Amino acid sequence: MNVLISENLYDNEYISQYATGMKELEEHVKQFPPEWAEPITEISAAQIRDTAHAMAEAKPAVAIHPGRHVTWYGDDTQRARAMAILTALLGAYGRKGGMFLPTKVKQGRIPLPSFPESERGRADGAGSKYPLATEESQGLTQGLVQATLTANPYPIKGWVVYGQSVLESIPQRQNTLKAIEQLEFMAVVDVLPVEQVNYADIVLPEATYLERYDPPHIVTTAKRPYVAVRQPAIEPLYESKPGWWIAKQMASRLGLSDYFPWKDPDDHLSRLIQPLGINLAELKSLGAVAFDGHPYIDDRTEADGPVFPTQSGKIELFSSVLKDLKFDPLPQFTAVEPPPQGYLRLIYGRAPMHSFSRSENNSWLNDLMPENQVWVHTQIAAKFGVQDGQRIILENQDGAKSLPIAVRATEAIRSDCAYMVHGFGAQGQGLTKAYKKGASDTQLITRVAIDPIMGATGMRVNFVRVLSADGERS
Amino acid sequence: MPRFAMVIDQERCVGCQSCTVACKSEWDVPNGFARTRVRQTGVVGSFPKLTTSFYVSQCNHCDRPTCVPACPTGATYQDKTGIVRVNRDLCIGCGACVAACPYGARYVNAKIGKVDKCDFCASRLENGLQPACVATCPAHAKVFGNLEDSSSEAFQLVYRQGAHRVETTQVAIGPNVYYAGKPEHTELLMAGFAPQLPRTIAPGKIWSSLLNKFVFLAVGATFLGQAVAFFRQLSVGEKQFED
Repeated sequence: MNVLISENLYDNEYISQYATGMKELEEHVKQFPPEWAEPITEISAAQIRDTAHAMAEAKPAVAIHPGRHVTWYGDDTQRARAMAILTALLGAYGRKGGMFLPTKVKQGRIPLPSFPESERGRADGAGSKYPLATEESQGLTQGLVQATLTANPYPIKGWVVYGQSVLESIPQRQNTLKAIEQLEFMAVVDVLPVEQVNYADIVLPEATYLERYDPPHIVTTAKRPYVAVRQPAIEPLYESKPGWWIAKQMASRLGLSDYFPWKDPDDHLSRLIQPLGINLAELKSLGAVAFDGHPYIDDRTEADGPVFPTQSGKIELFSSVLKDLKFDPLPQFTAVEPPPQGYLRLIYGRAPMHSFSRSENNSWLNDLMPENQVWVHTQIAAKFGVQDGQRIILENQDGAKSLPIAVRATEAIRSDCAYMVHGFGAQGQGLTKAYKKGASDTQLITRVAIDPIMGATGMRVNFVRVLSADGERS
Repeated sequence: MPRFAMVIDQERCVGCQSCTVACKSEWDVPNGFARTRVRQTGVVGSFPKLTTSFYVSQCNHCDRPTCVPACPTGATYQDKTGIVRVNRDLCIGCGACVAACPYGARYVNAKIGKVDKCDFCASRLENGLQPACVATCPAHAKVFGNLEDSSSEAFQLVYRQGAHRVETTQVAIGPNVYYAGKPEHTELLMAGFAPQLPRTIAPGKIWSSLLNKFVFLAVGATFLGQAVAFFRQLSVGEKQFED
């Protein structure tokens, strides 16, 4: 941004038409020249300049992708904002080769009776403690664990867990386990016997995605918006039931049938897709239907609504919303704590053949990748005296230990980091293929950095050292 | 007559192995084996300047296949379109063709006692479908087509854009799986996965291994026959006794 602005290489016309706060931004980024960024990023100032020049030349066809998992260090809103502002300077929102603007799809509504008002508000802090985290953004699971642990703002006595393996996917496992202990009741709806079913009072086995209908999948952020429908290929096996059936049955037994005013998935789906001008039979036979999209500013119509859904209707480079909440209205850099002596920063990610902690027990996918490895730089492996393929145990800064995991000594990682694929080291005995295979990153994430703006949980703030497989420090 | 070929674009492959899974599902391939595999090449260089790529392997349906003459029963043959196929009725599962393949593309399916490998999804082709791996590839990294058809994408990639065969001076048997990729990625592929000289199993060994099976079968049959006779005698005896 410093280079683009100081050398006047940004999209002036676009910014003056669609953005506010350029003056403040210009002033703000003066303090961040490439020479300032060089020691932090380990990228030379010359290369940073070259990159800015290449982007300027290609603009607006530049896509700055924020990545799939963005909660790292607790300052993530500001990092994401910095990337978004760079995208704006390049004039790339709603321009060919840049970022698509979403196209609305008319959805049918099924009228529901109003929900009873709660005087106590949400327990997870979404909308209150974290005013920008809205109920629509699905709330904060981590906040719910905290509320359960502390009985603040009020005691929580029961959980119904659905669509998530709370012990494998939420950091600070120790807290989640404690919170579960404090519950009077826990029901788990799951496709697989993951670890949390061990703690459940009731387990409701859900049918897999090949055996059930789900609500229509409506994607508005693609070049052309589309609606896809999931339909069963076979009848549910054993005692498993589709999620919609479980929800509807629970509601009717609790006297809440009015909130599910549809007969079956056909009825539900037909009413939701009614305004789209396609019928259910058509959608079912095609599987997915795409509609005309208006991803570029030039194609927008009145019906598409405002180009930028902010208070001003423009890109707010300087955010008055953040200013009002007493946050930095322009992104500030916060330094990341380096690993202590003898420790490596634990980072984690995904392998293309596995999804979260859901697929490790699948026979075919397990065959492709039965366990994860811990990647460490070749020189670090040599320093710790561990061989490629050797099984080790990792211990984090709080003394949490991993299951044994094989070392992958590689050049493909920084020398201050250790990396593993998430989702392994399963603790559910029912997962016959995945049980205790590889190590779990979640088990080593005992510390988190909460983003004060959005309340999200930064998880790359844990450090590990290498113990030999018999638990000795190497 | 079509001449089928597969072109793999190394610059598009992301190494997700969807092709392997689609193939396993289509052909009921047992775990631990595959008709098409994806392996990483490299990594070479030092951080952060690294080179790596993926090698997608399968049967190459070679112009001059070494597996066909290696087969003692004629089960492995090349059809009119150049596809190398295995006739399961004739296959005795001896594994001579597995040893003879320079690309490691064949395996003995222990479940059925027969050799199995990619056949370009011949039965899908007959129904106007693409091979399962091609249909499922999310990156359009696999292109299947007819090299006699100059308008096909495969033809363009092979004859206009320089997709190449994985061959060495020692092993040049005309594979029909081609690879398109940057020179550094080709180099890595050849460094890690160049074809191996075909190994041969002496015909005598095949027959003796087979003979062993027959011997076991014969001994087993004799034993079974004796057992049947024994129990029959017993039951007959009992009847006589009851009488």
